[in-house]
Amino acid sequence: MNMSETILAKESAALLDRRIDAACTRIAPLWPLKHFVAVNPFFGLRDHSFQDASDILARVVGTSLYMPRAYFREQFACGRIKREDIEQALERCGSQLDAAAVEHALATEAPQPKMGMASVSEVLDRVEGGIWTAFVTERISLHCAAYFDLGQAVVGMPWRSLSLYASWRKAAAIDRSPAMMGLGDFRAAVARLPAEPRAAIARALEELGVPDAAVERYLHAALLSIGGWAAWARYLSWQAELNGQRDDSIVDLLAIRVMWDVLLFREKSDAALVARWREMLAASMRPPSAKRQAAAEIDRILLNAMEIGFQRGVIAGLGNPAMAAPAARPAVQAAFCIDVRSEVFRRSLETVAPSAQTIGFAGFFGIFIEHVPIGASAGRSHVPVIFRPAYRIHDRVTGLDAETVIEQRRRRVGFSKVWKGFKLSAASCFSFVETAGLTYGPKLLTDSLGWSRPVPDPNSQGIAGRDLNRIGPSLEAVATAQCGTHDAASGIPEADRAGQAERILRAMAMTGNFARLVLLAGHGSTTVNNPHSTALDCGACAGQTGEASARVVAALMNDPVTRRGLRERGIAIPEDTWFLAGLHDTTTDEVRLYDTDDVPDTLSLDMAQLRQWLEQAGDLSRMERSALLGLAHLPDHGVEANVRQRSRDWSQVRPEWALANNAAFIAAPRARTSGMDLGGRSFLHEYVWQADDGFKILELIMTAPMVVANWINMQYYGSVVDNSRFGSGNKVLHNIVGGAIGVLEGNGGDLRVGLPMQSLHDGKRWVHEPLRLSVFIEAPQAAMDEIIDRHDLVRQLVENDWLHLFCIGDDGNTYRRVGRANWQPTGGPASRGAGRNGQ
Amino acid sequence: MTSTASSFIPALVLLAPALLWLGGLMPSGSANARPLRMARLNEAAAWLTFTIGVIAAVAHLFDASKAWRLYSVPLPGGIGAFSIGTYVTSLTVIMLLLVSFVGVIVSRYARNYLDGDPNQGRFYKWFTLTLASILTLIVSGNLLMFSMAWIATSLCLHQLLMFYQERPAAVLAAHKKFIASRIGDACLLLAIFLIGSTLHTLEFSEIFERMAAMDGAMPLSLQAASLLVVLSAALKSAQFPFHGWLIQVMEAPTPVSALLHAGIVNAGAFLVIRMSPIMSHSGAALAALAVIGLVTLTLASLVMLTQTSIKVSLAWSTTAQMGFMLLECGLGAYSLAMLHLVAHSLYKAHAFLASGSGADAFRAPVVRYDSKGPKSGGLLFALIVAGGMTAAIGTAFGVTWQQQPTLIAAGAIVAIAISQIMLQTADILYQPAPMLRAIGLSALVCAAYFLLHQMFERILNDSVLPLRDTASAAQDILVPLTIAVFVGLLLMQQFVKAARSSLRDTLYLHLYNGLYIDVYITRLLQRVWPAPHQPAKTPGARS
Repeated sequence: MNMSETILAKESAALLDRRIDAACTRIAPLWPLKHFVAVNPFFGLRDHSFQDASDILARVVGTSLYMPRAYFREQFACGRIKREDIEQALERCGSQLDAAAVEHALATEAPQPKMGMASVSEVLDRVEGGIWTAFVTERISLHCAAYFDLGQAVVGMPWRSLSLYASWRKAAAIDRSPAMMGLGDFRAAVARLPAEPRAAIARALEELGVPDAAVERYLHAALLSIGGWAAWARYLSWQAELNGQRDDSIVDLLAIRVMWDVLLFREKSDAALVARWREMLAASMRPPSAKRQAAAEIDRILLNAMEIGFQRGVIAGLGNPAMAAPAARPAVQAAFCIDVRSEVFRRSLETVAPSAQTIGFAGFFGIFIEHVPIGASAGRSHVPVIFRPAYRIHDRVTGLDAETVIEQRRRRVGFSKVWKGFKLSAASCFSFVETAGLTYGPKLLTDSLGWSRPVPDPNSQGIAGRDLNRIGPSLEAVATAQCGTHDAASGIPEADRAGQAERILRAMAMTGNFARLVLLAGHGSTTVNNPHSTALDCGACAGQTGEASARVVAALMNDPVTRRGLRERGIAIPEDTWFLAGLHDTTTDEVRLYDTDDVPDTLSLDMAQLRQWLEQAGDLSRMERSALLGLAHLPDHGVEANVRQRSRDWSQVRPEWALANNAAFIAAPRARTSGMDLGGRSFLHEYVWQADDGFKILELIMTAPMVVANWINMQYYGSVVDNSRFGSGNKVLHNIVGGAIGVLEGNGGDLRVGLPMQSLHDGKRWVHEPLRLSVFIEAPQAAMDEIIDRHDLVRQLVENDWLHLFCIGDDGNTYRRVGRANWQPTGGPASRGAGRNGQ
Repeated sequence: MTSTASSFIPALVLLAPALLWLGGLMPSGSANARPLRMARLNEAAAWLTFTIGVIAAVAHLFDASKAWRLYSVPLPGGIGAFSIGTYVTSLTVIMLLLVSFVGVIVSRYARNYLDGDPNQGRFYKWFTLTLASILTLIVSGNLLMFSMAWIATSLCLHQLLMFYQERPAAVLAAHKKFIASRIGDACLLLAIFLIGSTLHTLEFSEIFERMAAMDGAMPLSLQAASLLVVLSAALKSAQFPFHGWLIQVMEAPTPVSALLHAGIVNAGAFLVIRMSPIMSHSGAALAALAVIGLVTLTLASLVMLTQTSIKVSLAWSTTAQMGFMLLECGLGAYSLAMLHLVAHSLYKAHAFLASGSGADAFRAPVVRYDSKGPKSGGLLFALIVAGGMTAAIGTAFGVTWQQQPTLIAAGAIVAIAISQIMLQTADILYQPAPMLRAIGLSALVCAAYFLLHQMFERILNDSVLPLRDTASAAQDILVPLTIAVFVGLLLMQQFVKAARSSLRDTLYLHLYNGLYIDVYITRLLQRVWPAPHQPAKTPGARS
């Protein structure tokens, strides 16, 4: 090989590397069931416009990013899409069509989806009518499950210390199943494959004759054909990157998938397959036809029309704020997570207690902690998944017997391990059944009636009921002997406290006029026997409940050291102000209060009042939610009883509707929205731009909470639009895999991502309306433009149409951001007051 | 035979399935239109059958009346008569209570679980019919009626397995089960023909009487019949190598799995126990049962250890447990098999219904223990302690080891099991207090075992014919073989868990792949009876 050839080879290798990495970053990560957080499944496509991403997916997997035509037709028929919505959408999309043409198109069917970029196995299925794709998916899925298993199997895979690709080569050299399926030469062929995954991919592209221009699409399609495990591998690389490391499992997975294609292609190399394969490649090179482009334009207009219909109501409400003069000193201040479920509860609380003030803020309350539960050897992150925790917080036990509680927990958990071993080991499982099996008779009955939990509650496992109230997170460093870990750096050092507190209070726009009681309410859910239970918990707390964060921040704010420091920094919290931690149970709409014994006696009346308000607000919220839960016919107490029963029902597949129907994100003072009924569809973030020095807080809002809201919104969107690929299918078939990695649907197949049908659809209709997020921020346009310019991620989301951004002016008028830094007024006075929601 | 005074309970018992048969007559379409009403109706019917079970159980304590015939028609060829009637023994009562209880729980569960599914009504229809047929099977007093219920169970269940008929994997598994069941049906019908033509009756009660009175060797035709019963039971109980369908029916909703694993799959063992009057005369059939059971339990329990998804792991566990049950039958320990059947049903129903809780254990705080790893001397020591404990407790319960060789095998299995408790405690909580607790727990487990065994032995006294001397020759080999298999299982388990060798790696992978039998069967089936191939589509608007 001469010099120039070497250079050329190197260049093409580098190019291929880039293409492989590009295909891998197209995949969005999947968080495990033990802390399942929402992910935008199209996160890897955000550098393309929404429409381009839709076209790309259509060419790769055959389905676009829009709902089927029938859905829009239904929306039009029932009046959800109006003619004026379509007219406005035409204008917004810059379309040359007229409304009549769109309505006409609505009555016709969209062209059938194309085949997309098929794998060899899919083409083979068409040639032979076999089950090759299912077989390949099954083989890879089984291998991944064993390789990544978090602890389901008693006997683990021996090659877990190798890379995924190397482990696969070891296993495939032993595996007899391909031979059973008629691939006689498979094991020998695997042994001859390149040892390095990237080299293997290069070999595959060459053997399969994938044209240069189709390489990235082919690789993307290959990953999506095993998309669940690809998402898991992407999660591992995401976590590794967060810790400054690197994980290439996803490249290994890609190599395994394309090696299957190659091996099938070689073994089955008959003329029909080769011809069909080439035909498919050629077809995949052709850009979408004019007919398809026209259909996509209609889809785009219809989606925009639906969004416009939703936005109109919000815009009208924002233009007519209640704007009551703030009370002299609120009776109570209550901060909730920005979560859309808080909106319902806050509105209820304000209704029953007009003198109370509510605040919306990310549910981790701005404190970056990792929480180590009592007796545990490792902590759990409680911060949004794009960040790393800064402090490690341990639990403390009030009273003098911390050691006993810890030892007891260790022992009890240890015995439950021993018992599990007795139950599951090959030689003892039979005796387990004969001696202990009968006890499941009564247990079946009590579980069925909701009197007992099918398995111990993970949070209180091994702790006696009477001790539970004495345990809580502590700001102080805990002696290492007590916590079982060897990390002395725990707690929040005194020197840091005032700084942290100041940052948090300013971000919450709480710098004066404190009430006597300030409630910090995180949120969590109560469900049993629900694999996706953590999906209902707080996303800002990395899929945990908001309890630990709220308790830590409340303790921080009550700490005398913090208060002294805050005074020096110009925030004077009155002597009689007390911060109280709580947890809003989103399944039952109850608010649990923590550490109430520490509340000064002088506040006992305020406490009693608060408890009463919270109870009444809970009643109101439950009433509002009852219609969607199908309980509208029940009286008040009936609804409460039913909702409680749901939270304990092991057969309940819809304990709550969670964030279904989310559609807006509003960052403004609460006074702007307090007169509106946002119907539990809006994230609400407190923001007063006049108090934001240098727009630091605005920057934070647009780079973190807004992005998280977009992730949640797009998770719902993707799960509705293409549930088979971006959702997790039918919940009644879910089969947990790898301990807590995720779920399979039925026997096996690929790992599933996203949300189950039961969380989106009530059996008759979609409860979630798939709309892109409409973001309304009350801040100067220039400030937002500057932030958008500075942050690529934000710019991509805004300018590539992954969300709609609106500016709320001081006068309540709204302006929509169009193109680059161009703000257009939305409608003006004509539309104002026309559609005030629910007033 | 039908004295009015004592026919109350047998007639009542027949009412249980009859009620359900009526409930299942609702056409699918109207059932789907009123899913909630179907759910309530079904649960009420299930509670009613359970209540009947309770009444029958109480009454059975005072009234030993057994057989009752409502209707009878003689069959040609002198093979007895087909009759609709019941045969009430303790076995009947226990099974009736068990299955109706599981029916109640599963029915309650499905009401919310399948809420919103457009076919929820259809689910309840077929669930009701499946329950009706399995209850008919339990109460029936005539072999032909039994076999018809046996076939009906499988056909009704087929509808539930095909609940999501748009899923190719569901169809494939259902086809697999369908074929296995039809072979099983053929075996059973042939066995019935042989029994009828030899004994000239198909009534369970009369068969029991005649076989109890039979001395010496059993006629060849009945020997053949007993082997056919073994085959039929093995097919019904998903024994190796016909286990594939059971592993793959996770394509049906969880409640179907619960009902199948808790109420239907054990019909195989029930058949054997019901046929104990004949089985106990056939050393060959019992030996065959024991060997099938041993092979299945060994392979399936090892495969179970390697599985990575919760439901598949539970399915392998069921296969293994069914194997163990047949082994117990093969050893003539019918009462132990019955104990196992009941306990396993309750355990497995719970395990399936609670399978959504699997991730909870991983949400709990991580508590690490300094594991010292297994020591070679530790295992031996634990086995000796456990063996001594078992011998002592067994003797205290009045076991005479020399005369009950079966119990030596059973005791050895228990001893091996409790040695695991002590070993694992020693491994992670090596301190005197937890160790004492582990020893106490082991003693408790051991005592519970012997107590329950005695209870079931006494209860089943009227329902089974004990092993005959003519058939017990094989036991001298089977008992040591069983003990050897369990010691081997213990060692194998340690080997696949901890050893470092390429042999171990190879073994692991073959076990993880379920030893391939099923891949081959799938491929074969795909050729002769392919599942309709449908590319995955958005489940989309289901309305």
